[in-house]
Amino acid sequence: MRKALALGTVALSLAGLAAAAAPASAADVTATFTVAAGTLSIATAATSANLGTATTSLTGTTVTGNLPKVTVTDNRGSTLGWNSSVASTAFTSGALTIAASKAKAYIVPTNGPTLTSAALSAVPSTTAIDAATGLTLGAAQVFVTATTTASNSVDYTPTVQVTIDSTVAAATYSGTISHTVV
Amino acid sequence: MCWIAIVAVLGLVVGPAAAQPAPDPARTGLGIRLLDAPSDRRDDPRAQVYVVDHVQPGAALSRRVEVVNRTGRAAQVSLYPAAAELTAGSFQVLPGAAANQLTGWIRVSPATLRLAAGASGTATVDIAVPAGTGGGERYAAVMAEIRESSSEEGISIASRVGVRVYLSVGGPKEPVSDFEITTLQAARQPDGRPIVTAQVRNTGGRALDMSGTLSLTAGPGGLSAGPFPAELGTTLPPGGSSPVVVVLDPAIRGGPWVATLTLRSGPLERAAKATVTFPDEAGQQAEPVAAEQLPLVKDPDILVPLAGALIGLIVAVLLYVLYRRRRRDRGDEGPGAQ
Repeated sequence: MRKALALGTVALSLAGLAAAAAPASAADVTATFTVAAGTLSIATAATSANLGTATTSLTGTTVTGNLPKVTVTDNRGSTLGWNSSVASTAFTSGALTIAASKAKAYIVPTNGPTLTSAALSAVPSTTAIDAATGLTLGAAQVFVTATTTASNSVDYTPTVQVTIDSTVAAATYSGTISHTVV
Repeated sequence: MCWIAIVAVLGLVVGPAAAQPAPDPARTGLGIRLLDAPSDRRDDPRAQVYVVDHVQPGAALSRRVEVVNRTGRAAQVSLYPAAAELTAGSFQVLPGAAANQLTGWIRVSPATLRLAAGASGTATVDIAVPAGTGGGERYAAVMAEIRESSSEEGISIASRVGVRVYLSVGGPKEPVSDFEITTLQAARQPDGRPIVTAQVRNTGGRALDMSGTLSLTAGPGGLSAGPFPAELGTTLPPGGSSPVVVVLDPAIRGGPWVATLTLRSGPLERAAKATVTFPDEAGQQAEPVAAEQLPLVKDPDILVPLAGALIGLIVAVLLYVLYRRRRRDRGDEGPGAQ
């Protein structure tokens, strides 16, 4: 009986030491393995957009147009979401530049976001970029955030509205609007 | 012949009524995914999708990413690291090829991949942390971008997709991750849907990506509801505090309900509960209620030392019992031998 007790004590001590030593994370070599998750993808219906024409006036003017539809497909099958942010460069025409203080770009998703394929039906949340503050030219703002887990696909059509004040000269302006999904 | 025609007609009539046309799986655009993760983070869902690691100054790590071109045409893909920051509760990549300390340590090779339509390519991400670097967690993203110079005037549309990098630098032991659910607040959105907003504070040393579920019990008439999923996208920096929103079914009314919220980030999980009552009018909010923390569910940093301590206690008790028996045996022999 005493021997059994002693043996049991030794066994438990070893088990306790092993359990306490197990989580030590001071691994000298990091081994890697290959995971099998799918991809996170972004697709746009076109690579350019023409917002149309506006006429200059004393009170300023507004140009509004649709950007090509953006489709985000998340095949990673994870419990993590993604977010899509949008940024715009300044609008230029040759040597002319519309200064950030003279133009506000305001982007909303007019169509969508629509969940096109997912097990759940949660609609992604969007942060409408405030008309008063506008999209700061040169900075990025998170625009659409996935709310569902597991694989899903979302598409939305952004509308951009550029408010220009009266001091901007008449010309054809261009710029780049970029979507980042991460 | 005529029964083939009947089958065709039937196919038209009884076909699935899809509300939305399913996206063409062949045209999902430019895609990226992580190919490698460390073996000692096998139970961390974040490490399977993002580059999440903790290293000491002077160390180097390497991961592979795969880029897939499903745009329907050949493309030249640029690969580069971009600076990121945790702002307003989300992980934001700065525009362009913005740089920070972490992007200076990252090298992506090759920097350009020419991919035919439908083709994929692999790139290696090497991160070398200089010796003497101060501790702390840095953020960046490995971006894949298709840059096409459009000859048309107007607005050019660029798009890029990336893999997040959460790199912690410091001593041999990784900073402990932890968070606290401080308050729960019931409200009704302008569209009438009931929501619960939880204020979450990151009390640990690493960024957290929150996900989880909310269950309602002990409601009016003894009803229960849920679980409802928490909205994703909240990333908390160490020391940061942000709301996590759970949108509930519109049929949920009034209260009081016992709301139990379970949130997790990677392998870390915490739960808290509070009694909430939903306002009747749309667009109204109830007062935030302090949440009661529930006992730990899954935390390897606590459970293993706890198990070790319990085993130690059992060992101590057994040793004591052995010692007492030995003393008693010696006591029996003493007087008996004489």
